[in-house]
Amino acid sequence: MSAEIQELLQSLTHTTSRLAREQGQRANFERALGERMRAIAAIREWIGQEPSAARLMGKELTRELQRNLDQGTQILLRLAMAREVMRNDRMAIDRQIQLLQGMRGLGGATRKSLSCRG
Amino acid sequence: MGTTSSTSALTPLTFTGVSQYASDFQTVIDHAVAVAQLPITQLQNEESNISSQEQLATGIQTAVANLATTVTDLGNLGTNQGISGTSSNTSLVQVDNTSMTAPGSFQISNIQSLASAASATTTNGYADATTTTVSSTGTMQLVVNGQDYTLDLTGSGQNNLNGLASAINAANAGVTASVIDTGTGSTPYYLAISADSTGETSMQLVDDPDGTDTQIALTSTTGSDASFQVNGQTVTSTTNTISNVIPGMTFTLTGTTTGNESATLTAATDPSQISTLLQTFVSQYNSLEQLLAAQIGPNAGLLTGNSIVYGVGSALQSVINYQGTGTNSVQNLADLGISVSSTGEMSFNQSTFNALTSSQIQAAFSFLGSSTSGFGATAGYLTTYSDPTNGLIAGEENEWQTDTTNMNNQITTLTAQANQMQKTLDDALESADEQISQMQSQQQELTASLQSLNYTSYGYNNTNNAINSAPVMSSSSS
Repeated sequence: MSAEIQELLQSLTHTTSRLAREQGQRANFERALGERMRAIAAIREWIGQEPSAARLMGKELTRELQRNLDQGTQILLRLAMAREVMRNDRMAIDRQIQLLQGMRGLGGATRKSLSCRG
Repeated sequence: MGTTSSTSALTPLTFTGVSQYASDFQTVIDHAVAVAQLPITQLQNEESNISSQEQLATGIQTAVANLATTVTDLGNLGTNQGISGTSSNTSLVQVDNTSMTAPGSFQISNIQSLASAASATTTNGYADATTTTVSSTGTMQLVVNGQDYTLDLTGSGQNNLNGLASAINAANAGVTASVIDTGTGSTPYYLAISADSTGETSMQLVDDPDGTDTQIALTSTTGSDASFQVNGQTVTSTTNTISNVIPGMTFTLTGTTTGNESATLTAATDPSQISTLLQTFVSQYNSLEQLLAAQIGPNAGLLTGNSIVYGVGSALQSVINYQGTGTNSVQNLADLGISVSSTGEMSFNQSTFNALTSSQIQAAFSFLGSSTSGFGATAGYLTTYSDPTNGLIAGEENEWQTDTTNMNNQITTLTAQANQMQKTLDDALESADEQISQMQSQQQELTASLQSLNYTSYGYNNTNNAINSAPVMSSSSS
């Protein structure tokens, strides 16, 4: 495998791992997202520019890309689950704010519907 | 992926696995628990309990106060020996109230006149109430029963009939002036003055009292005093309601007599006053007893265990078990026909009461005492609880008010926390939407790269298209 594509794959693997590690750290996660995007774009560009080389190392390259794809799918799944929990939290907090407003007798200020943002 | 365990809605979930995502999820779950742990349900229960307790206590307070009033009224009967006044001819005179402490009889005769209020109207009319001048100088004088009241009409728009009426009304002369519009002739407006109270009253109206001193012609009636005789003695009064002639009795003259017509006012003991109040006492006692019983026992209400319930119950016992002193033939409520059943229900036997002799009735008055002695004084046991300012129930209510204030403060704090959580969650959701969108985009790019590689290597696409099995989220999904 050429040094160039090896470096690109390492970059992709590295940023994918960072995404997995930094899921709770918004700034770091978003930085890693940007770097992963650039790594993927560079690999795709290399495949387009170096078809012969790509064909020669197709099996290994495919395995590495598939592995990153699978890891990304896991991250995406975790993101979706975490978001669903937050959405439920948001609905719960809306209901509780309504209860609090009702207890304070703020009839006019009471919201007429729940927010189901999501 | 880690594993989760949960024992209740409020038990924090704990990731015990070794997944690299565990810490992220733990943060999310901790957040959810924080939302659920806002003690709003607890506050709601407290609010409901306090409100219910206040209502129950207020009900008891009212019932105790009513009973205390009746006990005091019974004591007052002891003071005035249950004497009430009656008139033999209510078309001539009516008895309004009696606070006499001894029987008596009074003849009202020769009612020659009833008291009436004086009134006057200007003899001449005025063309207009707002533009026609009424005073040559702007200064007039009202004379009521010899008392002078200066009327200043020099202000803008005051020297007219309306201004004069206003000035008279502002003079506090015991009369009220108004402008009458007869609607006829060229001078339809007249000033009318009437005395505020009955009795003979003279009225004069003078223009320019310090100069020409011109009398304004008035058509008037001077009013009259009431004139009558009490036991042959002539009395005159400026009012028809007389309270200073017969000590302890207020009566009202309602008509004049003709010939030898007269009315007899009689003050006599009326035992039915006692029985009427005793019936009220029994009814109020049973109502209060029911309220207290509802707070005692296995099915007791929210005031169970509250000192008010037992305190009021004890006060009730002190009232109903009151024993008179001395050798009086009436020593307790039972002697008046009151009994309490085994279930605690009180009743009044009218027949027992009706069978009391005159001397026993007198003994009953002695037993009842006054508002500060005898049975009447036992009202104090009750007002200790029912007094709206210093009573023990009012004290308890004040504590509940303090609880309510504290609870409102808690609600304010919780609302602020909840609003902050709401904002944090909004930010987090927005961020999650953006991250998911980017992640999906990258997965699609990666899948495209794999497809491209497969075409290059094998001429076909055998990619295990993971993106198709990945969750697809969008910011608009819910």
